[in-house]
Amino acid sequence: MSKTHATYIAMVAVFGLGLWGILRVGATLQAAKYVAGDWRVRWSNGSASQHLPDRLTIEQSGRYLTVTLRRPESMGPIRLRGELRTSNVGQGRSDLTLASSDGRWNMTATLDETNQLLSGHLAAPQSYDWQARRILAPPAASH
Amino acid sequence: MHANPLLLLFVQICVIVALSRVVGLVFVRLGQPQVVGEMLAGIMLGPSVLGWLWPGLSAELFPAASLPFLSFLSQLGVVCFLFLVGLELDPKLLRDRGQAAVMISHTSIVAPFLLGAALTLYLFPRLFNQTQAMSFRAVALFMGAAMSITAFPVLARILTERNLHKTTIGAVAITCAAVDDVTAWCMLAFVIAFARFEQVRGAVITASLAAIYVLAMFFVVRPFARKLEKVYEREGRLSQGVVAVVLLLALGSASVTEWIGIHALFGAFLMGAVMPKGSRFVREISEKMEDYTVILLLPIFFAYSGLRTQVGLLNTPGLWLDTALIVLVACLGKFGGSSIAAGVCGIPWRESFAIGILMNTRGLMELVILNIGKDLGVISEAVFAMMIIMALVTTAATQPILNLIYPARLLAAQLKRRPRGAFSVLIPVAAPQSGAALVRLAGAMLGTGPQRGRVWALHLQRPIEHDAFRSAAGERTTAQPHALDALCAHAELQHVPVETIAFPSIDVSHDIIVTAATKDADLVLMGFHKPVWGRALLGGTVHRVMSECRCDVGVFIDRNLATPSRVLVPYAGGPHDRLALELAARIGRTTGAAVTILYVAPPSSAATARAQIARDLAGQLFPAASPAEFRSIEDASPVAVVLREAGNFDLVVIGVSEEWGLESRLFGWRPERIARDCPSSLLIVRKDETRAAQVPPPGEPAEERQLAPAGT
Repeated sequence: MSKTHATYIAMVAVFGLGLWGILRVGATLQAAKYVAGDWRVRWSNGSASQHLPDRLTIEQSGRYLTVTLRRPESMGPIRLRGELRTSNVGQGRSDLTLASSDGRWNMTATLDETNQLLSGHLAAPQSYDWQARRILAPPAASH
Repeated sequence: MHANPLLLLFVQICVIVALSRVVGLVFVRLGQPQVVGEMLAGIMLGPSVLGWLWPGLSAELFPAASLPFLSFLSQLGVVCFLFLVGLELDPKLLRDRGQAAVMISHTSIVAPFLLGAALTLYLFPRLFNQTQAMSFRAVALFMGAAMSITAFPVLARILTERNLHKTTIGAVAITCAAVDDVTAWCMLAFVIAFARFEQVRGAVITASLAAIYVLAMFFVVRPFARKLEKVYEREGRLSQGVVAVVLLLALGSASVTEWIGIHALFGAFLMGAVMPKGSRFVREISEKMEDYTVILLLPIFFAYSGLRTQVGLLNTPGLWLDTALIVLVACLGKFGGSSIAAGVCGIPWRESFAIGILMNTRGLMELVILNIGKDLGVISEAVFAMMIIMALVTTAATQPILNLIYPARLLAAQLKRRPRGAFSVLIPVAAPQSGAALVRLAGAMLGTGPQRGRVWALHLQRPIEHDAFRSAAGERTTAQPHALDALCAHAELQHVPVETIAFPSIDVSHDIIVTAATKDADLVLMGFHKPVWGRALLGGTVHRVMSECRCDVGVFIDRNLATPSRVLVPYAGGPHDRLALELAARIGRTTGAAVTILYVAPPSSAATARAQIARDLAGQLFPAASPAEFRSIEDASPVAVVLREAGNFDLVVIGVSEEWGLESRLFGWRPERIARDCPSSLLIVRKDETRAAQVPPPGEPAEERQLAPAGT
C-alpha cells in the first residue's frame, strides 16, 4: 500500500470518526428556546400603560433577541436588544434580559416551561409589569 | 405602485438588473470577479443598506407582498443556472484525474466539512433556535456541506483570466473543484433529505429514490439527449422545438427531485450533467439560455438573497466575533485542507497554497446553498447573514491573495518552455483580415534552420461577460477562434510555425503585456487598424503596450506588403533605431531582402562621426556575405528625406524616435507624419529599454540572443 493510499484511508477514517464524535457530543446540546414571533401583552399598571401596545414582536437568532413594541406612529416603536439565557438547560425557565440602545428602556422576562407565557418587567421612566401569551403556536421543537 | 403588482415587478427588475450590472462592472475594474459585485448589489438592495438608509424607499420598492414574485423568479434563475453549470461540467475532469487530484479534492471536502460540523458545537447553543429543522444533526451536516463548497464557475473564470489554466495549479484546482461540486451537491441532497425528514430512515429512503433517479437519468434520459443532438446535427441548427424539449427536460428533472425531497436544483444540475458534452449542440443551448439567466434571472436571485440578508442583526461585538470565527474556520478547512493535501502529494508549497486559495473561492454556489438552508429553516437569520459575509470575503479575497502567493513572474517562469536562442514573436490579432500580413512579416524575422524561432498568435476574445457557469476553461482556450483561421491558413502556406492562444479578456492591453511576459516573447508585433489620419496614431491599446510591455514592440502599418525584398532602415542613432537595424538584419537573412540603412541627420560638426558609428554598427549586424547598403545624408528635415526615399522600398523599418517625429508625439494628438505619409509598408519599432539595460556584457548569451543574426 502506497503512502498516498494509507493517508487517504486515514483521512476517511478520521472523517468518519470525527463526524460520529461531533454528532454524539452535539446531541447533548440544546439550542435556545424558540421565542420568536408575536405575543399579546397584558400590562398590570392599568391606565398608566395605556400608551403601551398590546402586542410585542420578538425576532430571534439563537439566544440573541430583538423585541419591538409598536406604539402609535407619532411616538415611534420601542426596540430592545438582548439575550435569552436558560438556567436549567432544556427543561427549566428561560430568562430574557433586554435594553434599548439609548438605555432608557430595560426589560426582563421569564419564559415558562410550556413556552407559551412570558412574564416580565419593563423599566422605563415608569415601571410596568406585564404578561404575554403567544399569538401563534411555535413550530415543533427539535429532538 | 403597490396597486399595480406588475408595474412594481417591472420596476423592481429594472432596479435590480441596473444596480447589479453597475456594481458588477465596478468590481471587475477593481480586479474582482463580477459575481462579487453582483452579490454585493443584492445586499445593497436589502435591509442591510437600502432598508437601513431609506426605509421608506425600501418599503415602497420591495414591499413584503411582492417578495413571493421575486422568490419564484429567483428560483427559476437558479434552476437555469444549475442546469447550465451541469451542462458545462466536463466529465473528462472527473475521469482523467490523477491520484493527487483525488486526494486534494477529497481533503478539500472532508476538512471543511468536519470543521464546519465541529464549529456547530460552539454555534448551536448560541445562534440556533429550538425548531424542528434546527436539530443539531441537521445543522451540523448542513454547516459542513456549506463550508465545503467551492465556486467552480468563479474558479474557472479566475484561472482563465490569469492564464493559469495550463499550469499545474490550474489543472489541479479545476479538477478538484469539479469533483467538489459533484460531491457537494450529492451531500447536500442527503442533508436536505435529512433536514426535511429529520430521521435517518426518511433520509435513506429519499437518498435511495434519488439514486434510482440518477440511474434513470444516465440510462434513459442521457440516450434520449443524444438523440436530440442527432436531430440538431441533421437539421444543422438548433430549432425551437429542440430547445423546448431540453427546457422541458430540465424543468421536469427539477420537479422530480423536488418531489423526491432533494430540492429542484439537484435535478436541474443533473439534467445538465447528463447532456452530451463538448459539442456545438450543448454550446448553442448554453448560449441561448445564458443571457437571460445571467443578465436577468441571477441578479434577481442575488437581490432576493440580499433582501433576506440582515447584516443589522449582527449588532453586538460578540456576533461579529462569531462571524470572524466562521470566516476563519471556512478558510482553515478549505484553504488549509487543500494546501496541506497538495503539499503532501508532492506539489511545491507555494503552488499548494495557490491551489488552497483557489479552492477557498465560494461565490455564487455558497449563496445557492445558504438560501436552501434558510428555506429549510436549518439556519437562523443571523447565521445566514454571517455565512453570506463569509462567502463574500472568501470570494473577494481569492484574487489579491493569489497575487501575493503566486505573482505573475512565477506564472511566467512555469510557462516558459522555449529554449534560449530562438527568436519569438507574439502577434495579437483582433480582426481576421490583419492576421495574414502580420504572420508574413513575423515569418520574415524568424530565421531559418533548426533554431528557427516561433510565432504565437494571440486572440483576446471579449469575455462571455459573466462566465458564471463555465467549466471548460481549457477547452475554450485551445479552441481556435475564427479570428485566427486566416492567420493559421496563411502560416501553413508560408511554413511559419504558429501556436495559437485565445482567451477572454476584459483588459486587452494588460493581457497582451502579460502574455508577452509569460511567453518570454522577443517582439510583440501588432497590427494597426485605425484610419491613419485619426487622432493619436499610436494611441489606445498600441500606446499602452508600447509604453508598458517588457519586450520589444513593433506596430505594422501594412500597405500591401508581400514578401519584403527592399527594406529601408532610417537610422539616427537611438536605441529604437538600433532595434530597427536588428530586425531589418533578421529580415535580410531570412528572406534575402536587400537592406538599405539611411543615416539622416541635420548638418552639424558631429554628423560625420555619428555616421561612422552607425556604419560600424551596421557592419556588426550584417555579415560580410550580405552587407547592407549604407547611405548617409545630411539634411535639415530628416523626415522629408525618409518620406522621399521610402517610395523606392516595399518596407520601411523605423524606430520610435524623436528624429522621425514619432517619439514626442507618441502620446500626443498630432498625427505622426511618417506613419501617415509613408508610401510603403511601415514597421515602427520600440525597444524595451529596461530589457536593454539588463543586457549582460558582450559575449554572454543574452547579448548573443539580442544581436545574433537570424538563422544562426
